[in-house]
Amino acid sequence: MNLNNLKPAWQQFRLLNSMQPMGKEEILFIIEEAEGLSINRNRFLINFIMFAVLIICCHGG
Amino acid sequence: MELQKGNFIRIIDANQGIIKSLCKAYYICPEDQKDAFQDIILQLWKSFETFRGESKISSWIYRISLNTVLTKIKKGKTKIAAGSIGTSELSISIAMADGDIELLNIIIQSLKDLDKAIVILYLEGYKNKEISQILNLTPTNVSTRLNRVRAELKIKFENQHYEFKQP
Repeated sequence: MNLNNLKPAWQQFRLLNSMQPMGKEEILFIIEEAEGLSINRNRFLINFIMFAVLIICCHGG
Repeated sequence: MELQKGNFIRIIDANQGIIKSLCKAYYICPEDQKDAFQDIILQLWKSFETFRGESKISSWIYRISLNTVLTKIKKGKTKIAAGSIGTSELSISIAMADGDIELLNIIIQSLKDLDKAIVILYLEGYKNKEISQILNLTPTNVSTRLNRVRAELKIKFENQHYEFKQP
């Protein structure tokens, strides 16, 4: 069994898988959703730090 | 930023065949394939900023995609059925394979995760040195693994008579 014999089949397989591409909107949705999560996480972290500082100040630290 | 997104989408759009093929090679369940596809897109987007075009776009896509899938499998996020086919089952499957693509699928599914990545890159036409760079392995390791896969396939194919439709 020569692996080279499978090369045309791989090319064909790859071509077949490119026939029904995912829409541009869907790709954009994936990256923007991740960006949104990251922004929310940062916002949460900033709020948490501000709250912690406020609590420490209120306790007269 | 919008321009960068536009460029990224254009690149992904033109290379979806590679990403989808890798997802199908590693995951059998369509849900897992979709999940892996999204993870790959995210990782590609994260590394897009640092991509300076020193390597071919397809090489960059293969590097990020394969490393994402291999890490995902290592973390055990999803269970895959691949790599668990025994020699006897594989021989039966080969005998029943209807077409080159089906045979390719059977063989790919029978390989271990890292060997699968090496074989896919080999089938894509990459040299051992390039494969080692993409997968962060030594060229000797790649060569040893490829030889082992060839030897295993030779044993599995010993009693099989499969005529390739394409030379």
